[in-house]
Amino acid sequence: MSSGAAVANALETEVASEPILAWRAWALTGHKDGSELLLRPVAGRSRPWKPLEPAEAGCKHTRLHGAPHIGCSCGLHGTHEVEILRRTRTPAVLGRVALWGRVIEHDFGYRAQFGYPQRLALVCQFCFWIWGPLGSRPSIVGWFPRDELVPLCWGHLEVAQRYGMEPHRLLPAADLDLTLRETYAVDALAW
Amino acid sequence: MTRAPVEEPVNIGRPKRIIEVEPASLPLPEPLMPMPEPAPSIPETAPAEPAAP
Repeated sequence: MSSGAAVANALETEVASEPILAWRAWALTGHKDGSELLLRPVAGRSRPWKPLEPAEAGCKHTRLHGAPHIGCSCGLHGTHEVEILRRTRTPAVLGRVALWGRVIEHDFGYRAQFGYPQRLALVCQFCFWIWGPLGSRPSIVGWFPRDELVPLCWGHLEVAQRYGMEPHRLLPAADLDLTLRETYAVDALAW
Repeated sequence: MTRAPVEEPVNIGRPKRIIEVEPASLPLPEPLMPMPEPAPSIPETAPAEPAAP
């Protein structure tokens, strides 16, 4: 018996009929005019969360197991508390996500088979790291090559520019926030 | 063997339990309904002449 199977057998399994709600952070990509917005994992950005479709977990070891697997770290991640997401490397969007299918609950969050965002908001990643979600509303969104979008407050835009992180184009954050929610047909995140 | 995850934003600790979630309805937004075509305007017709006695 593999170690993963042994762990799975040791864990209790429950059945639920309501999706699990969790916190999650995403990276954001889009064209320089603010169109074609896509939520992406902050790690492994190649697999976007497509609008109006459930995201389905994948794994590089898909020939060996489905995702999420108990002995792996694969699956769509969500957390119990928003605070833990302050350790995320480059968050651009913060939100509540519904998780369903096979869900493995961990000490501080979940790994799930399927997911879809329920509420979304852009965040200035630097403010989020320093102050948490309450003080992290961005003013603009910087567009960078490879369609990377980085929401920033005015203060952190200035700091970023001072250190050579110069956006190729600036877009109003309020407009992109609304476009993002319209694209995914979800509500604004309540702060 | 080190397994490379597709995504792993933060450390969420050790696994505690497995939940098989089978929602009665998927938590997806309603499909965007196309706007109905406006009904073709019906030309006003003149009231019928009273029949001759």
